[in-house]
Amino acid sequence: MSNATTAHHDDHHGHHPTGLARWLFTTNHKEIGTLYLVFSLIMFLVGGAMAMVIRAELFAPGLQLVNPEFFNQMTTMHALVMIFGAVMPAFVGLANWMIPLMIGAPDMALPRMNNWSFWILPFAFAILLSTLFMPSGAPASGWTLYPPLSLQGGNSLAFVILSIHLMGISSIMGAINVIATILNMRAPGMTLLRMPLFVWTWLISAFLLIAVMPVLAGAVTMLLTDRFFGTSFFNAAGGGDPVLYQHIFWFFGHPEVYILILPAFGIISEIIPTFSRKRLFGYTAMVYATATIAFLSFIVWAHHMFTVGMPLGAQLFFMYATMVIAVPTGVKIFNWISTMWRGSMTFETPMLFALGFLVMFTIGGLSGLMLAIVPADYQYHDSYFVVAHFHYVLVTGSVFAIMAGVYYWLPKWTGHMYDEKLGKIHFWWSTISVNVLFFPQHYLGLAGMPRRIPDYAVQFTEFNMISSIGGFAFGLAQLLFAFIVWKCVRGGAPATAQVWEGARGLEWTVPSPAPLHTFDTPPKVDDSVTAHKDELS
Amino acid sequence: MPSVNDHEPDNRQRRKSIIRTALVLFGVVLLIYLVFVGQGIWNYFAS
Repeated sequence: MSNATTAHHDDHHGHHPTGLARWLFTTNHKEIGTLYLVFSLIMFLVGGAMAMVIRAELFAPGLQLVNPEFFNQMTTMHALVMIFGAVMPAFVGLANWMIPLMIGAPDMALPRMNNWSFWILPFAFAILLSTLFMPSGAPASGWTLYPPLSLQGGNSLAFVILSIHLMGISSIMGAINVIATILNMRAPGMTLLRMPLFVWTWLISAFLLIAVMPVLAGAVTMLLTDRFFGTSFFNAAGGGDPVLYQHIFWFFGHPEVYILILPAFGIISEIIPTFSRKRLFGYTAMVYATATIAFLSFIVWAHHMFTVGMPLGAQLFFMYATMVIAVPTGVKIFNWISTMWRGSMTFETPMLFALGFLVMFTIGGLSGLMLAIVPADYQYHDSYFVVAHFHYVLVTGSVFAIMAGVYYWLPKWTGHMYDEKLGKIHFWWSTISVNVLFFPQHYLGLAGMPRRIPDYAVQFTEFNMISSIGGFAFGLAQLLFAFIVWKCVRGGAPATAQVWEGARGLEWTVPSPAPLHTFDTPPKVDDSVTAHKDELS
Repeated sequence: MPSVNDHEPDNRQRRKSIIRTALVLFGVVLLIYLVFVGQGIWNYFAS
């Protein structure tokens, strides 16, 4: 693999700018990946600060720190920032860094568009966050922006819709870039069924993004014209239908959930084989399971809105279709367990986060199955049980997988090993505190505490206090994470090219840190260098 | 400035393929957007 990092005779633009210009004008996939990841970390801390406000207010019954209007602005903004600002950009950052390295491509297929995709985001979020300082305040109708409530707020809705459009454009361009890269830029011999699972899951997620981001754009465009241009798409008084918005929103929203989790499955599928020192069990089944989950995600949207009323046949269809998703998801869980079976396992930080993901994502998946049951959902709907469910999926699922991926690939990016002891402390601190934070919320929901309220009945006090203490501890743990990353970027024990003893794949054939230009000459790929054998070729 | 490799027929072919892929995907995005806004308009006038 000596040609993996040949001197870059064509530096694309002749010279490499430094300072701010380097980051503003870069078309290099590694630098853009870094920009995405840094942006995501900043947004994670901003969204986290909003969560701290929420948990501080809910520490005790009664109004403590903020007024109810601002509390609802916090829940709305926390969700928008975490989903569109933290988790999605983190996955795009990982995709930018790793997909070209994994498939033996010199860069993304459309590097200038890649630059544009990223630089739209800071403007989108500046617009979104600026609504907090507007006279009418930020939107307070929840991240779903359901009418008629969202139409009754102030003019800041226009800014939020503009920022959602910008985020959508950025995501769509990112998705097009990922698909064009994977379909056109693979090194000779890198057949589809030799691609790492992270590449597969991203390819499928990118198709989901292409399919659903324009649906969200359509929904919020109609919301905009209803609010400012006198139309009545969703206004019952004018002949429109508010429930139509819910259908359109969740036709976007449910596949969006899988956009937030499929790349996480890909990361876990890279890490578990490495630290089990075995090839992934059931690779082809994993690919088909991912595609099946993506397909099913389009036919389950109404399980988010059972309580608005729909025919019994529709309720049964959406209930059973939702339950069917447990089958391909179960295939994945069992294949990860089978990969570990009789493997020579070690428990470095990435593996700890992967195992934490496995256990806690399963808890979130099982509570999702409970929510799929129509008569039970009538009880759980809009309660803290739902809040507990989707935080187990998105925090101990998506966020834990992102952290696993960051620890796993950080030595490849920086050329230094991170502080393993601090990494392990971060894992255990996060794992304990996140369960203290979210597990009691199941009981609160079952006992009848509704979501999105700043005050509650006194019988919910103890579990809310426990949950808030867990929340503060989890927030502090993430400051430790930022410190560990910063420390690793600054220095540390030098990392080898392979970094991890059991790691396989093209990305581990280039030196650490990965040079700015890799695979200018395409590598020759066969089963000996890839993590997965192509059994069909 | 185009890269040295751009003159090779294989790379030109690849470039064409990348642009074709991107254009098709942009077209799909536009189509889906118009279908969903269109059905909103349809729903409004039909009700």
